[in-house]
Amino acid sequence: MFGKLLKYDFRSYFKTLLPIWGAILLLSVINGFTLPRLELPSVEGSNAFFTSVLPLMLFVTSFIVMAVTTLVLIIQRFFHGLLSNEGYLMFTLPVSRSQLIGSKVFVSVMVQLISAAVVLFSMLILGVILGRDSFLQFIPTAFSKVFEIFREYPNESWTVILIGMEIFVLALVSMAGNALHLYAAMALGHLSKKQKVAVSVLAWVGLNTVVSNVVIRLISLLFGGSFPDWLHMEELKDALPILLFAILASALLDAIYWAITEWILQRKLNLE
Amino acid sequence: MNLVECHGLSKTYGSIRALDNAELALESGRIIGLAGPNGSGKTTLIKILNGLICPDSGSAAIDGHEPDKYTRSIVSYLPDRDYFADWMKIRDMMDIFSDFYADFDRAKAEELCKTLELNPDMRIKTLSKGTREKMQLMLVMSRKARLYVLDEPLAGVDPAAREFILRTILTNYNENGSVFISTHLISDVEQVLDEVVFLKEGRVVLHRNADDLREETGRSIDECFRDMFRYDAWKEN
Repeated sequence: MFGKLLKYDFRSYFKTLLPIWGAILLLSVINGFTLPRLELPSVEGSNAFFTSVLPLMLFVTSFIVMAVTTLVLIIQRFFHGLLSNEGYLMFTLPVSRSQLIGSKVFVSVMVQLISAAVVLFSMLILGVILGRDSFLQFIPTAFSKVFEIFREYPNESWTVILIGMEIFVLALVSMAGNALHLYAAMALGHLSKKQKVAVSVLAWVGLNTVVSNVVIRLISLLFGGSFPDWLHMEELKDALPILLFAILASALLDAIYWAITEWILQRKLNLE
Repeated sequence: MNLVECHGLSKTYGSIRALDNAELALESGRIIGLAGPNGSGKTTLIKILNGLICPDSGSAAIDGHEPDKYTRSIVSYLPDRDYFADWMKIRDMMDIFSDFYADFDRAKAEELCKTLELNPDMRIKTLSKGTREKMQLMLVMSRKARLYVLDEPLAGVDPAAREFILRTILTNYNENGSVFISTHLISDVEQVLDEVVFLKEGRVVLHRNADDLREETGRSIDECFRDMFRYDAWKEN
Protein backbone atom coordinates (compact mmCIF):
# COMPACT_ATOMS: atom_id res chain seq x y z
CA MET A 1 0.00 0.00 0.00
CA PHE A 2 2.91 2.34 0.80
CA GLY A 3 4.25 1.95 -2.74
CA LYS A 4 0.84 2.87 -4.15
CA LEU A 5 0.71 5.98 -1.98
CA LEU A 6 4.16 6.94 -3.24
CA LYS A 7 3.01 6.54 -6.84
CA TYR A 8 0.07 8.88 -6.21
CA ASP A 9 2.19 11.46 -4.34
CA PHE A 10 5.01 11.40 -6.92
CA ARG A 11 2.51 12.05 -9.72
CA SER A 12 1.03 15.05 -7.92
CA TYR A 13 4.52 16.60 -7.55
CA PHE A 14 5.89 15.63 -10.95
CA LYS A 15 3.05 17.12 -12.98
CA THR A 16 4.24 20.57 -11.83
CA LEU A 17 7.97 20.03 -11.31
CA LEU A 18 8.89 18.02 -14.42
CA PRO A 19 8.26 20.97 -16.78
CA ILE A 20 10.30 23.26 -14.48
CA TRP A 21 13.21 20.81 -14.28
CA GLY A 22 13.03 20.41 -18.07
CA ALA A 23 13.01 24.19 -18.56
CA ILE A 24 16.10 24.60 -16.34
CA LEU A 25 18.06 22.01 -18.28
CA LEU A 26 16.96 23.53 -21.59
CA LEU A 27 17.89 27.03 -20.40
CA SER A 28 21.31 25.79 -19.32
CA VAL A 29 21.91 24.54 -22.87
CA ILE A 30 20.68 27.85 -24.36
CA ASN A 31 22.81 29.86 -21.93
CA GLY A 32 25.81 27.75 -22.81
CA PHE A 33 25.63 29.28 -26.27
CA THR A 34 24.35 32.77 -25.37
CA LEU A 35 26.52 33.54 -22.32
CA PRO A 36 29.78 34.15 -24.28
CA ARG A 37 27.98 36.95 -26.19
CA LEU A 38 27.34 38.72 -22.90
CA GLU A 39 30.98 39.84 -22.79
CA LEU A 40 30.98 41.21 -26.31
CA PRO A 41 30.15 44.85 -26.82
CA SER A 42 26.65 45.21 -28.12
CA VAL A 43 26.77 45.96 -31.81
CA GLU A 44 23.17 45.38 -32.68
CA GLY A 45 21.77 47.23 -29.69
CA SER A 46 18.39 45.79 -28.66
CA ASN A 47 19.16 42.38 -30.18
CA ALA A 48 21.81 41.73 -27.53
CA PHE A 49 19.10 41.78 -24.89
CA PHE A 50 17.23 38.90 -26.52
CA THR A 51 20.29 36.86 -27.44
CA SER A 52 22.18 37.01 -24.15
CA VAL A 53 20.62 39.01 -21.29
CA LEU A 54 17.12 37.54 -21.51
CA PRO A 55 18.24 33.86 -21.49
CA LEU A 56 20.43 34.58 -18.46
CA MET A 57 17.56 36.30 -16.65
CA LEU A 58 15.25 33.39 -17.45
CA PHE A 59 17.92 30.93 -16.27
CA VAL A 60 18.29 32.67 -12.89
CA THR A 61 14.52 33.11 -12.56
CA SER A 62 13.92 29.42 -13.29
CA PHE A 63 16.03 28.47 -10.22
CA ILE A 64 13.95 30.79 -8.04
CA VAL A 65 10.72 29.40 -9.53
CA MET A 66 11.91 25.85 -8.84
CA ALA A 67 12.82 26.60 -5.20
CA VAL A 68 9.55 28.44 -4.52
CA THR A 69 7.42 25.83 -6.33
CA THR A 70 9.07 22.97 -4.42
CA LEU A 71 8.33 24.71 -1.12
CA VAL A 72 4.75 25.58 -2.13
CA LEU A 73 4.14 21.99 -3.29
CA ILE A 74 5.39 20.53 0.00
CA ILE A 75 2.88 22.75 1.83
CA GLN A 76 0.07 22.32 -0.68
CA ARG A 77 0.30 18.52 -1.00
CA PHE A 78 -0.14 18.22 2.76
CA PHE A 79 -2.71 21.00 3.26
CA HIS A 80 -4.87 20.30 0.19
CA GLY A 81 -4.01 16.62 -0.04
CA LEU A 82 -4.85 15.74 3.55
CA LEU A 83 -6.43 18.59 5.51
CA SER A 84 -8.89 19.83 2.86
CA ASN A 85 -11.40 18.11 0.55
CA GLU A 86 -8.89 15.60 -0.86
CA GLY A 87 -8.49 14.39 2.72
CA TYR A 88 -11.95 12.82 2.46
CA LEU A 89 -10.40 10.37 0.02
CA MET A 90 -6.93 9.99 1.53
CA PHE A 91 -8.15 9.39 5.10
CA THR A 92 -10.72 6.82 3.93
CA LEU A 93 -8.17 4.72 2.03
CA PRO A 94 -7.18 1.53 3.87
CA VAL A 95 -3.78 2.87 4.92
CA SER A 96 -2.45 4.01 8.28
CA ARG A 97 -1.79 7.63 9.25
CA SER A 98 1.94 6.90 9.48
CA GLN A 99 1.92 5.56 5.91
CA LEU A 100 0.22 8.76 4.73
CA ILE A 101 2.84 10.92 6.48
CA GLY A 102 5.72 8.64 5.45
CA SER A 103 4.75 8.81 1.80
CA LYS A 104 4.54 12.62 1.90
CA VAL A 105 7.93 12.90 3.65
CA PHE A 106 9.67 10.43 1.32
CA VAL A 107 8.39 12.14 -1.82
CA SER A 108 9.26 15.62 -0.49
CA VAL A 109 12.84 14.48 0.23
CA MET A 110 13.11 12.96 -3.24
CA VAL A 111 11.91 16.13 -5.01
CA GLN A 112 14.33 18.25 -2.95
CA LEU A 113 17.13 15.85 -3.95
CA ILE A 114 16.11 15.88 -7.61
CA SER A 115 15.90 19.70 -7.55
CA ALA A 116 19.45 19.85 -6.14
CA ALA A 117 20.61 17.34 -8.76
CA VAL A 118 19.00 19.42 -11.53
CA VAL A 119 20.95 22.49 -10.33
CA LEU A 120 24.23 20.52 -10.37
CA PHE A 121 23.48 18.94 -13.71
CA SER A 122 22.55 22.27 -15.30
CA MET A 123 25.89 23.70 -14.11
CA LEU A 124 27.64 20.69 -15.60
CA ILE A 125 25.87 21.25 -18.95
CA LEU A 126 26.82 24.92 -18.83
CA GLY A 127 30.43 23.97 -18.05
CA VAL A 128 30.63 21.44 -20.87
CA ILE A 129 29.22 23.86 -23.46
CA LEU A 130 31.16 26.91 -22.25
CA GLY A 131 34.45 25.14 -21.66
CA ARG A 132 34.05 22.72 -24.60
CA ASP A 133 37.25 20.73 -25.00
CA SER A 134 39.03 22.13 -21.98
CA PHE A 135 36.16 21.14 -19.66
CA LEU A 136 36.01 17.64 -21.08
CA GLN A 137 39.77 17.31 -20.60
CA PHE A 138 39.50 18.67 -17.10
CA ILE A 139 37.21 15.87 -15.93
CA PRO A 140 39.65 12.95 -16.50
CA THR A 141 42.51 15.10 -15.13
CA ALA A 142 40.47 15.83 -12.01
CA PHE A 143 39.66 12.14 -11.57
CA SER A 144 43.30 11.09 -11.96
CA LYS A 145 44.31 13.75 -9.40
CA VAL A 146 41.73 12.38 -6.97
CA PHE A 147 43.08 8.84 -7.40
CA GLU A 148 46.61 10.14 -6.90
CA ILE A 149 45.65 11.84 -3.65
CA PHE A 150 43.84 8.68 -2.59
CA ARG A 151 46.99 6.60 -3.16
CA GLU A 152 49.22 9.02 -1.27
CA TYR A 153 46.95 9.69 1.69
CA PRO A 154 44.61 6.69 1.97
CA ASN A 155 43.56 7.32 5.58
CA GLU A 156 42.72 10.97 5.07
CA SER A 157 40.92 10.14 1.83
CA TRP A 158 38.72 7.61 3.56
CA THR A 159 37.95 10.23 6.21
CA VAL A 160 36.94 12.67 3.47
CA ILE A 161 34.70 10.03 1.87
CA LEU A 162 33.08 9.24 5.23
CA ILE A 163 32.59 12.96 5.90
CA GLY A 164 30.96 13.28 2.46
CA MET A 165 28.63 10.38 3.25
CA GLU A 166 27.73 11.88 6.61
CA ILE A 167 27.02 15.27 4.97
CA PHE A 168 24.75 13.49 2.47
CA VAL A 169 22.85 11.71 5.27
CA LEU A 170 22.63 14.99 7.20
CA ALA A 171 21.22 16.65 4.08
CA LEU A 172 18.58 13.89 3.76
CA VAL A 173 17.60 14.17 7.44
CA SER A 174 17.41 17.97 7.12
CA MET A 175 15.29 17.75 3.96
CA ALA A 176 12.88 15.42 5.79
CA GLY A 177 12.99 17.91 8.68
CA ASN A 178 12.00 20.80 6.38
CA ALA A 179 8.86 18.92 5.36
CA LEU A 180 8.05 17.52 8.82
CA HIS A 181 8.44 20.97 10.40
CA LEU A 182 5.85 22.31 7.92
CA TYR A 183 3.56 19.29 8.42
CA ALA A 184 3.62 19.59 12.21
CA ALA A 185 2.85 23.32 11.94
CA MET A 186 -0.09 22.68 9.61
CA ALA A 187 -1.36 19.87 11.86
CA LEU A 188 -1.24 22.27 14.84
CA GLY A 189 -3.02 24.90 12.73
CA HIS A 190 -5.70 22.29 12.00
CA LEU A 191 -6.55 22.27 15.73
CA SER A 192 -7.74 25.87 15.42
CA LYS A 193 -11.43 26.28 14.59
CA LYS A 194 -11.23 29.44 12.51
CA GLN A 195 -7.63 30.66 12.06
CA LYS A 196 -6.02 27.54 10.60
CA VAL A 197 -3.53 29.36 8.33
CA ALA A 198 -2.52 32.01 10.91
CA VAL A 199 -2.05 29.37 13.62
CA SER A 200 -0.03 27.22 11.20
CA VAL A 201 2.34 30.13 10.52
CA LEU A 202 2.70 30.89 14.24
CA ALA A 203 3.21 27.20 14.97
CA TRP A 204 5.94 27.01 12.32
CA VAL A 205 7.84 29.84 13.99
CA GLY A 206 7.14 28.64 17.54
CA LEU A 207 7.86 24.95 16.94
CA ASN A 208 11.43 25.63 15.93
CA THR A 209 12.16 27.50 19.14
CA VAL A 210 10.34 25.08 21.44
CA VAL A 211 11.54 21.83 19.88
CA SER A 212 15.16 23.01 19.52
CA ASN A 213 15.09 23.94 23.19
CA VAL A 214 13.76 20.53 24.12
CA VAL A 215 16.49 18.82 22.07
CA ILE A 216 19.23 21.01 23.61
CA ARG A 217 17.92 20.26 27.11
CA LEU A 218 17.79 16.56 26.35
CA ILE A 219 21.38 16.65 25.12
CA SER A 220 22.59 18.57 28.16
CA LEU A 221 20.74 16.09 30.40
CA LEU A 222 22.50 13.22 28.63
CA PHE A 223 25.96 14.79 28.87
CA GLY A 224 25.63 16.42 32.26
CA GLY A 225 25.29 20.01 31.08
CA SER A 226 28.55 20.23 29.13
CA PHE A 227 29.32 19.14 25.60
CA PRO A 228 31.46 16.01 25.49
CA ASP A 229 35.15 16.14 24.58
CA TRP A 230 34.68 14.34 21.26
CA LEU A 231 32.82 17.39 19.95
CA HIS A 232 36.08 19.43 19.81
CA MET A 233 37.67 19.62 16.41
CA GLU A 234 41.42 19.56 15.97
CA GLU A 235 41.95 17.15 13.11
CA LEU A 236 39.91 16.37 10.02
CA LYS A 237 38.69 13.06 11.43
CA ASP A 238 37.20 14.89 14.42
CA ALA A 239 34.48 16.08 12.06
CA LEU A 240 33.11 12.51 11.90
CA PRO A 241 31.61 12.34 15.44
CA ILE A 242 30.47 15.97 15.17
CA LEU A 243 28.55 15.23 11.97
CA LEU A 244 27.16 12.03 13.44
CA PHE A 245 25.98 14.03 16.44
CA ALA A 246 24.33 16.58 14.11
CA ILE A 247 22.59 13.74 12.22
CA LEU A 248 21.25 12.25 15.45
CA ALA A 249 20.08 15.63 16.79
CA SER A 250 18.33 16.43 13.48
CA ALA A 251 16.77 12.96 13.40
CA LEU A 252 15.46 13.54 16.93
CA LEU A 253 13.89 16.83 15.76
CA ASP A 254 12.33 14.98 12.80
CA ALA A 255 10.92 12.32 15.15
CA ILE A 256 9.33 14.97 17.38
CA TYR A 257 7.72 16.73 14.40
CA TRP A 258 6.49 13.38 13.07
CA ALA A 259 5.02 12.41 16.46
CA ILE A 260 3.14 15.73 16.72
CA THR A 261 1.75 15.33 13.18
CA GLU A 262 0.73 11.70 13.61
CA TRP A 263 -0.87 12.26 17.01
CA ILE A 264 -3.03 15.12 15.65
CA LEU A 265 -4.06 13.22 12.50
CA GLN A 266 -4.84 10.13 14.58
CA ARG A 267 -6.52 11.66 17.62
CA LYS A 268 -7.64 15.19 16.71
CA LEU A 269 -8.61 15.04 13.05
CA ASN A 270 -11.56 17.31 12.34
CA LEU A 271 -12.42 17.48 8.64
CA GLU A 272 -15.36 19.85 8.88
CA MET B 1 -22.27 -9.10 16.30
CA ASN B 2 -23.71 -5.85 14.97
CA LEU B 3 -22.03 -4.35 11.93
CA VAL B 4 -22.10 -0.87 13.44
CA GLU B 5 -22.18 0.02 17.13
CA CYS B 6 -22.05 3.49 18.61
CA HIS B 7 -22.22 4.16 22.33
CA GLY B 8 -22.53 7.56 24.00
CA LEU B 9 -21.16 9.42 20.99
CA SER B 10 -20.81 13.16 21.64
CA LYS B 11 -19.22 15.89 19.60
CA THR B 12 -19.34 19.66 19.99
CA TYR B 13 -18.16 22.40 17.64
CA GLY B 14 -17.52 25.41 19.87
CA SER B 15 -20.88 25.99 21.57
CA ILE B 16 -22.81 23.80 19.11
CA ARG B 17 -23.54 20.26 20.23
CA ALA B 18 -23.56 18.23 17.02
CA LEU B 19 -23.91 14.81 18.67
CA ASP B 20 -25.25 14.27 22.16
CA ASN B 21 -24.76 10.82 23.64
CA ALA B 22 -25.89 9.08 20.44
CA GLU B 23 -26.55 5.33 20.62
CA LEU B 24 -26.83 3.21 17.49
CA ALA B 25 -26.60 -0.44 16.45
CA LEU B 26 -26.95 -1.57 12.83
CA GLU B 27 -27.09 -5.13 11.50
CA SER B 28 -25.71 -6.59 8.27
CA GLY B 29 -27.78 -6.96 5.12
CA ARG B 30 -30.09 -4.01 5.75
CA ILE B 31 -30.86 -0.71 4.03
CA ILE B 32 -31.06 1.91 6.76
CA GLY B 33 -32.18 5.49 6.32
CA LEU B 34 -30.65 8.15 8.54
CA ALA B 35 -33.06 11.06 8.67
CA GLY B 36 -33.07 14.34 10.47
CA PRO B 37 -33.34 18.04 9.72
CA ASN B 38 -30.28 20.10 8.79
CA GLY B 39 -27.90 20.37 11.72
CA SER B 40 -29.23 17.27 13.48
CA GLY B 41 -25.80 15.58 13.40
CA LYS B 42 -26.16 13.20 10.44
CA THR B 43 -22.93 14.21 8.71
CA THR B 44 -21.00 14.32 12.01
CA LEU B 45 -22.11 10.75 12.81
CA ILE B 46 -21.10 9.59 9.32
CA LYS B 47 -17.72 11.32 9.51
CA ILE B 48 -17.00 9.69 12.87
CA LEU B 49 -17.78 6.27 11.37
CA ASN B 50 -15.26 7.05 8.63
CA GLY B 51 -12.57 8.33 10.99
CA LEU B 52 -12.66 11.87 9.55
CA ILE B 53 -13.71 13.39 12.87
CA CYS B 54 -12.69 12.23 16.34
CA PRO B 55 -15.56 12.19 18.85
CA ASP B 56 -15.21 14.10 22.15
CA SER B 57 -16.51 11.06 24.01
CA GLY B 58 -18.12 7.70 23.38
CA SER B 59 -17.15 5.00 20.93
CA ALA B 60 -17.94 3.96 17.37
CA ALA B 61 -17.12 0.54 15.95
CA ILE B 62 -17.61 -1.17 12.60
CA ASP B 63 -17.39 -4.96 12.62
CA GLY B 64 -15.89 -4.68 16.11
CA HIS B 65 -13.12 -2.25 15.12
CA GLU B 66 -12.79 1.43 15.86
CA PRO B 67 -12.41 3.32 12.56
CA ASP B 68 -9.02 2.12 11.26
CA LYS B 69 -7.27 0.60 8.25
CA TYR B 70 -9.49 -2.48 8.44
CA THR B 71 -12.81 -0.62 8.64
CA ARG B 72 -11.77 1.61 5.74
CA SER B 73 -11.24 -1.53 3.67
CA ILE B 74 -14.85 -2.68 4.22
CA VAL B 75 -16.68 0.68 4.17
CA SER B 76 -17.55 2.44 0.93
CA TYR B 77 -18.16 6.09 1.72
CA LEU B 78 -19.87 8.74 -0.37
CA PRO B 79 -19.13 12.10 1.25
CA ASP B 80 -21.24 15.24 1.01
CA ARG B 81 -18.60 16.92 -1.18
CA ASP B 82 -16.26 15.93 -3.98
CA TYR B 83 -12.75 14.95 -3.01
CA PHE B 84 -11.00 14.86 -6.34
CA ALA B 85 -7.68 16.38 -7.32
CA ASP B 86 -9.05 18.08 -10.41
CA TRP B 87 -5.95 17.59 -12.57
CA MET B 88 -6.84 13.89 -12.76
CA LYS B 89 -8.99 12.05 -15.25
CA ILE B 90 -11.92 9.78 -14.34
CA ARG B 91 -9.69 6.82 -15.28
CA ASP B 92 -7.04 7.97 -12.77
CA MET B 93 -9.60 7.83 -9.97
CA MET B 94 -10.61 4.32 -11.09
CA ASP B 95 -6.90 3.38 -10.95
CA ILE B 96 -6.65 4.71 -7.38
CA PHE B 97 -9.71 2.73 -6.31
CA SER B 98 -8.33 -0.42 -8.04
CA ASP B 99 -4.97 0.09 -6.32
CA PHE B 100 -6.26 0.59 -2.81
CA TYR B 101 -9.57 -1.26 -2.44
CA ALA B 102 -9.40 -5.02 -2.86
CA ASP B 103 -13.19 -5.09 -3.23
CA PHE B 104 -13.26 -2.64 -6.18
CA ASP B 105 -14.75 -4.25 -9.27
CA ARG B 106 -13.09 -2.57 -12.26
CA ALA B 107 -15.37 -4.23 -14.82
CA LYS B 108 -18.40 -3.01 -12.94
CA ALA B 109 -16.93 0.50 -12.79
CA GLU B 110 -16.40 0.52 -16.58
CA GLU B 111 -19.97 -0.71 -17.04
CA LEU B 112 -21.34 1.94 -14.67
CA CYS B 113 -19.40 4.59 -16.59
CA LYS B 114 -21.33 3.58 -19.71
CA THR B 115 -24.68 3.57 -17.86
CA LEU B 116 -23.99 6.96 -16.30
CA GLU B 117 -22.56 8.32 -19.57
CA LEU B 118 -19.13 9.04 -18.09
CA ASN B 119 -16.13 9.13 -20.39
CA PRO B 120 -13.15 7.77 -18.39
CA ASP B 121 -10.74 9.98 -20.34
CA MET B 122 -12.40 13.21 -19.30
CA ARG B 123 -10.46 15.53 -17.00
CA ILE B 124 -12.19 16.06 -13.67
CA LYS B 125 -11.52 19.79 -13.96
CA THR B 126 -13.88 19.99 -16.94
CA LEU B 127 -16.78 18.11 -15.30
CA SER B 128 -19.96 19.79 -14.08
CA LYS B 129 -21.04 19.41 -10.45
CA GLY B 130 -23.68 16.84 -11.43
CA THR B 131 -21.18 14.77 -13.44
CA ARG B 132 -18.72 14.81 -10.54
CA GLU B 133 -21.48 13.47 -8.29
CA LYS B 134 -22.25 10.72 -10.79
CA MET B 135 -18.57 9.84 -10.95
CA GLN B 136 -18.30 9.62 -7.18
CA LEU B 137 -21.38 7.40 -7.08
CA MET B 138 -19.88 5.17 -9.79
CA LEU B 139 -16.68 4.71 -7.74
CA VAL B 140 -18.44 4.07 -4.44
CA MET B 141 -21.00 1.63 -5.86
CA SER B 142 -18.36 -0.34 -7.79
CA ARG B 143 -17.02 -1.68 -4.50
CA LYS B 144 -18.32 -4.91 -2.98
CA ALA B 145 -18.29 -3.37 0.48
CA ARG B 146 -19.66 -4.66 3.77
CA LEU B 147 -21.10 -1.23 4.51
CA TYR B 148 -21.99 1.64 2.19
CA VAL B 149 -22.22 4.97 3.97
CA LEU B 150 -23.88 7.49 1.71
CA ASP B 151 -24.12 11.07 2.91
CA GLU B 152 -27.03 12.88 1.24
CA PRO B 153 -26.63 11.28 -2.21
CA LEU B 154 -29.94 12.81 -3.32
CA ALA B 155 -29.37 16.35 -2.12
CA GLY B 156 -29.20 19.09 -4.72
CA VAL B 157 -30.40 17.02 -7.68
CA ASP B 158 -33.72 17.18 -9.52
CA PRO B 159 -36.42 14.52 -8.86
CA ALA B 160 -35.72 12.64 -12.11
CA ALA B 161 -32.02 12.35 -11.24
CA ARG B 162 -32.91 11.26 -7.69
CA GLU B 163 -34.76 8.25 -9.03
CA PHE B 164 -31.82 7.41 -11.27
CA ILE B 165 -29.32 7.70 -8.41
CA LEU B 166 -31.46 5.58 -6.13
CA ARG B 167 -31.82 2.93 -8.82
CA THR B 168 -28.03 2.94 -9.33
CA ILE B 169 -27.51 2.39 -5.61
CA LEU B 170 -30.11 -0.38 -5.36
CA THR B 171 -28.96 -2.30 -8.41
CA ASN B 172 -25.29 -2.17 -7.54
CA TYR B 173 -24.80 -2.60 -3.80
CA ASN B 174 -23.47 -5.81 -2.29
CA GLU B 175 -26.59 -7.51 -0.95
CA ASN B 176 -24.74 -9.15 1.93
CA GLY B 177 -23.66 -5.73 3.11
CA SER B 178 -25.65 -2.85 4.55
CA VAL B 179 -26.47 0.55 3.13
CA PHE B 180 -26.60 3.46 5.56
CA ILE B 181 -28.05 6.42 3.69
CA SER B 182 -28.53 9.85 5.15
CA THR B 183 -31.22 12.09 3.73
CA HIS B 184 -33.89 14.59 4.54
CA LEU B 185 -35.84 13.60 1.43
CA ILE B 186 -37.60 10.66 3.06
CA SER B 187 -40.38 10.31 0.50
CA ASP B 188 -37.84 9.48 -2.22
CA VAL B 189 -36.22 6.62 -0.33
CA GLU B 190 -38.84 5.32 2.03
CA GLN B 191 -40.00 2.45 -0.19
CA VAL B 192 -36.56 0.85 -0.19
CA LEU B 193 -35.72 1.21 3.49
CA ASP B 194 -35.64 -1.75 5.87
CA GLU B 195 -35.01 0.48 8.88
CA VAL B 196 -35.13 4.16 9.76
CA VAL B 197 -33.08 6.13 12.25
CA PHE B 198 -34.28 9.62 13.22
CA LEU B 199 -31.70 12.00 14.58
CA LYS B 200 -32.76 15.11 16.47
CA GLU B 201 -30.36 17.60 18.02
CA GLY B 202 -27.59 15.03 18.02
CA ARG B 203 -29.61 12.24 19.62
CA VAL B 204 -31.05 9.08 18.10
CA VAL B 205 -34.73 9.62 18.90
CA LEU B 206 -36.11 6.71 16.88
CA HIS B 207 -34.70 3.53 15.35
CA ARG B 208 -37.33 1.19 13.97
CA ASN B 209 -38.09 -1.36 11.33
CA ALA B 210 -39.68 0.63 8.48
CA ASP B 211 -42.68 -1.73 7.99
CA ASP B 212 -43.37 -1.88 11.73
CA LEU B 213 -43.36 1.90 11.98
CA ARG B 214 -45.78 2.25 9.07
CA GLU B 215 -48.05 -0.45 10.50
CA GLU B 216 -48.11 0.94 14.04
CA THR B 217 -48.67 4.57 13.09
CA GLY B 218 -50.80 3.99 10.00
CA ARG B 219 -48.71 6.62 8.22
CA SER B 220 -45.83 6.77 5.82
CA ILE B 221 -42.33 7.30 7.20
CA ASP B 222 -42.31 10.68 5.48
CA GLU B 223 -45.42 11.68 7.48
CA CYS B 224 -43.87 10.40 10.73
CA PHE B 225 -40.76 12.46 9.94
CA ARG B 226 -42.80 15.60 9.23
CA ASP B 227 -44.74 15.12 12.49
CA MET B 228 -41.64 14.70 14.55
CA PHE B 229 -39.73 17.61 13.05
CA ARG B 230 -42.58 20.05 12.40
CA TYR B 231 -41.43 22.33 15.17
CA ASP B 232 -37.82 22.29 13.91
CA ALA B 233 -38.98 23.13 10.39
CA TRP B 234 -41.00 26.03 11.72
CA LYS B 235 -38.02 27.14 13.80
CA GLU B 236 -35.74 27.11 10.73
CA ASN B 237 -38.19 29.11 8.62
